[in-house]
Amino acid sequence: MNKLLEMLQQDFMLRTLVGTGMVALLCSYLGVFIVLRRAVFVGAALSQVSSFGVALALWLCGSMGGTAHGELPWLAHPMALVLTVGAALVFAAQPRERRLPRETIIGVAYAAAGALTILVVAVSAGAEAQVVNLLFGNVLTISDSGIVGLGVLLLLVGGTHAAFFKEFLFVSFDPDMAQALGLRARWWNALLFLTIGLTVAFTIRAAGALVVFSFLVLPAATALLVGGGLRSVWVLAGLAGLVGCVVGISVSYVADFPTGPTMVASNTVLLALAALANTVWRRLASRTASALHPKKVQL
Amino acid sequence: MNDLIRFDKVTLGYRRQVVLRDLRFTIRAGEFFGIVGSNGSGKTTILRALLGILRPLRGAVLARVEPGENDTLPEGGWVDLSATPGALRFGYVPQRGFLDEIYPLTARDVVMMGRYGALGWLERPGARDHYQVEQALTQVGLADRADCRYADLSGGQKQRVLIARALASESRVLVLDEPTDGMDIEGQRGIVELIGQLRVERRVTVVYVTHRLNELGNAAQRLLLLHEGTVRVGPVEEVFTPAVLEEVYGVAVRVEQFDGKRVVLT
Repeated sequence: MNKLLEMLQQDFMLRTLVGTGMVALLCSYLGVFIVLRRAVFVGAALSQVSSFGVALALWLCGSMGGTAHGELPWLAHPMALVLTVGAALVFAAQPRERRLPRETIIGVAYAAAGALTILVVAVSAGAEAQVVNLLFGNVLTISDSGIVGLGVLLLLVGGTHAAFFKEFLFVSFDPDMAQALGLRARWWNALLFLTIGLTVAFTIRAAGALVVFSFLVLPAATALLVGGGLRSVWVLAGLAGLVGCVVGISVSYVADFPTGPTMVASNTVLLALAALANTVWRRLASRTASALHPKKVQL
Repeated sequence: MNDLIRFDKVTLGYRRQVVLRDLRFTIRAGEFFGIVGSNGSGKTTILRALLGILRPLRGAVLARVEPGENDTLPEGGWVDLSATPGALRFGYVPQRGFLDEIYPLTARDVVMMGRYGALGWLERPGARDHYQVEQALTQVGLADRADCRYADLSGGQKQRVLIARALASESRVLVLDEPTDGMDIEGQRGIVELIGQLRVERRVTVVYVTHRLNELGNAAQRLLLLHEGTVRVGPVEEVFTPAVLEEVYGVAVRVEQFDGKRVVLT
């Protein structure tokens, strides 16, 4: 308990809690769309593309002799942002318009971006540590400007989804009916994926690829297991993400574990508990139904 | 009855592959129009062009809009559906297997989606939208199942929910894609009767797509038959004859009357 109180008195830990809390909230909310659309590897592929953007910027700036050792060049974030958003828009296109299904394109992007990142890092002096840091992240080093950036992102993505939630839901569930009623399904789809691309590009800077990917998948899966109605699933996903984040950071501080993986572990434990609750609930419901409506046996 | 939709020398296909060539037919306001074809004959392709999802390779799919019905053509008239999405709103009932049941939606949530086309960007469903949803659910006989999860409903109930969603959209045209697929005979009859009844009560035009010839022989007023590139359109009395059916399908058939209903026998 003392350790926890001590944690709350540390400025960098408070920044970590607030920054990672915003990452958790955003990714968990968007993750419900990603899981419902059966496109969970969108998160993994976008993370790889983002890393490739940073590696490419390191190589370009290194070739021009532009960057000091240990610092990310100015081009890193714009390059990662442009490539990630571009990839998100490619993933957004409807599968029937292409010869290859969406998951294949996502797989190609994941493999190609991953391989290219390693190749580009191999030819860039001193880039390895920075790209590894980006992939696995270090939530303990979130700066004040990073918190402000995440706050702006939260407002932007949150505002867009508050305004257009029904359109995003409709084009995800039944794009043909949405189109038949006059909604431009392709454009709404692109806007939804744009918010996902922006979120991945920005949150990876703060939390690393592994943490972002886990927040995109695990809280949404937890919420779908225990949530009842439409709104409750999105609310529960946000709550699960926040709980996983706070518990993960607290445990990592007290036990001196690496923070990112501990948050992923917390999210996994929450998912396991949700799966257990779901199984118990189903068994109880099935027993109650059998008791109320016993099967008639004809002799 | 006035013409409502016109396929004007329409060639349809995907990329460079032509599926149907030079289609010319009209769908009249208020009629029950059936499209019958085997799998792969192009009936879904016609439907996608009708909904404005697929742009014709040649020709145009035109719709007559009423004065004031469409902002781009306030005085009414013929509009190209692929160039003006939403010019004529369609109540589309897709094949229920195409919808993913992982979504945590109740029957009411699904039907409410029918109202989304009429709502503005920031607008939330209001009292009128909720009223239309309740009316539509009542009309398909599912008012008592409104709060059940869509995924937990039976096949027939899911189909009724999708029909209710099309009704809630207050569209002038109901477009149904294989609505009885995978149902037993009783379920099939229930759906066809419901559609016929809704057409009269709601005064809507029905475009009904199926691969079962006998399903529409007594319900539709006009039929479009599709088989391996051959297309025949006309009133049921003219199309549902041994001569035409043999010409289209290439097999000998008989058309018999049982209890005043036409049945095709092979």
